Amino acid sequence: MGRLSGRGIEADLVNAPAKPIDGLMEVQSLKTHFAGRRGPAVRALDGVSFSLARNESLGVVGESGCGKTTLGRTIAGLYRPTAGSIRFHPDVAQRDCGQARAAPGRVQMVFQDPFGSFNQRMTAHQILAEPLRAAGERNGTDAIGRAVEAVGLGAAALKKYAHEFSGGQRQRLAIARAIVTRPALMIADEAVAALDVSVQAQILNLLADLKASYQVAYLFISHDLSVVEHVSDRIAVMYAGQIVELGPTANVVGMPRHPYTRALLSAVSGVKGSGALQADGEAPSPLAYPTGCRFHPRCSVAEARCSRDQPAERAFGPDHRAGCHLA
Amino acid sequence: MTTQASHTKEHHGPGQRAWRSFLQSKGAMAALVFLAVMLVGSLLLPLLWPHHYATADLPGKFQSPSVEHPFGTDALGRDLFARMMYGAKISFSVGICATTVSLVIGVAYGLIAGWFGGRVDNFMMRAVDALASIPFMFLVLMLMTLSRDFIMLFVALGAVQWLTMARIVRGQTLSLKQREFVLAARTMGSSTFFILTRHILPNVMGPVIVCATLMVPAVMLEEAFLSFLGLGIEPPKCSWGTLADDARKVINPVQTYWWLVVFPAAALAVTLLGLNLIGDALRDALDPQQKHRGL
Repeated sequence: MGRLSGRGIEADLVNAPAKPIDGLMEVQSLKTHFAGRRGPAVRALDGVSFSLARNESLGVVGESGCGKTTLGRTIAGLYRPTAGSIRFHPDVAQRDCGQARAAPGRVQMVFQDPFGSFNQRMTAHQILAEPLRAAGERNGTDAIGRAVEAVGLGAAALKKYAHEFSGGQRQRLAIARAIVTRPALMIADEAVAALDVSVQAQILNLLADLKASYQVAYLFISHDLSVVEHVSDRIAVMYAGQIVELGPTANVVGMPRHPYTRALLSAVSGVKGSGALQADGEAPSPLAYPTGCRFHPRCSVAEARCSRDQPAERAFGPDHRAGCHLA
Repeated sequence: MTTQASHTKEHHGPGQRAWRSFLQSKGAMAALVFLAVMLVGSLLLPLLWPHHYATADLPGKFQSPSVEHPFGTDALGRDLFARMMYGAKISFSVGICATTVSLVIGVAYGLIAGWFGGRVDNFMMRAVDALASIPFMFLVLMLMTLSRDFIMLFVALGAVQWLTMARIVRGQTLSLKQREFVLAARTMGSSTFFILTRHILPNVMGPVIVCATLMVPAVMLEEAFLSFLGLGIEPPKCSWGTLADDARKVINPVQTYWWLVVFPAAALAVTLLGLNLIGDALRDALDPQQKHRGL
């Protein structure tokens, strides 16, 4: 199957920045705010920057309300960013939009709820045909067959309606729908959170297999660090609309720099002791973030300057960065 | 696509399951058979019936029911049975046409308001509120002064009923567009038209069908009410409402011609009951909270 082309006009790049990006995607100071009916805006995503290489999987971890779902949906084009930029490699971008939008079918999404992800009135075949149709692919039967096989559902499944599948099978179907157009990037938003632990492992293994066979990159969003570390090459830890630590999985898990990362890790492993930290209290409201370091009210090692000055990001090694005064 | 042919024994979509559940409702089935017989009868029987609905026979006025005139005759000696068959046609076509008008306008309006949301939604729904605040009778009287045409009755009744339909569809659309399957469709780049027609519309049809089924009797009753007030059908045409009105006019202290009141009123009552039974059964069948739908 050839690469899918966008439906847009075959014109030269408009508004294209002079230099195409190296990797698959570059996100610069991305902000997505939601205007309140009255009062301040909800600053769900408040200045996020990272890049993603081809076939790389980036785990995004953080507690609920930290903006990780907003990040995924903004990249998927469901929300319009308030500020900042998302740039895709020219191979992936929609031609008439410069590099700001991915061409149809090149970025796909898997959602958390395996029940709500499908139109109850469609068969699996119709469900899988939709992204192909949207991407302008006419002869999709082969691609559908391959996708169904790749996720481990038999061809007989194509005649069934979504309600006839189990939760795990539905999530396989959701993944098939995402890979059927051979996307460059798949955004998995809490894709295994609603599944049993045994099924979770199967789905995570499936995602790892697909990464190799389909050469797809992942943005793997989860609140569960133990899930994220299984599937991610790199991990981004989000707190209060920002990335507080970003680095290779081994570094972030093995040598966490930010106190919040350490708190998350200790919550997962139950480790107590000198390295372990706890984050008591509730996550800050996205309507009014604390001054200085946004984590300082909950941080067990916070100093006076933490409530005053916003910490700059510091590099720890070539690819590892964290935003903490004390790291 | 081969998917349409795949509705085999093993795989049933929600539509088919709802249909099966509907078929199991005895009251609704009885009502459906009764209404079908009455509708077909009122269309075919006049071809064979010896009396015309508008032919007057003054010497034979006010005959009580007999073999010759099973429902009796009216003040002009016209056969009531023939007039009721004619009235059924009028009553049903008013009910069905006005409902169709409101269905088309209301669904399209509600879909657009709900999908685009924000200012569009605000503007469109305030317009609906403004229209809904005009008293029904006032609106109908105004429209009927413009033209006493039969078509105006459809317009007047439809113009009132579509407001409810638009509100239902708009509300459903607002909630559906936040569902993950719609978000997924947007992510994969499906066109707005595709999303509205393939994702939103089929999923709002449940409540819409129920509302439309219950709207038919409501419209028929309104037509009867308007005709009873002399605002509806013009003589010699008649509907069940004008027949009841004619009967009311000739009631006097000496003589009540009971058949003139009882038969049209009973026909209307039984029809309304039947349509309501069907509407209720459809609502039960299409209810998303139903146990075997797995939601």
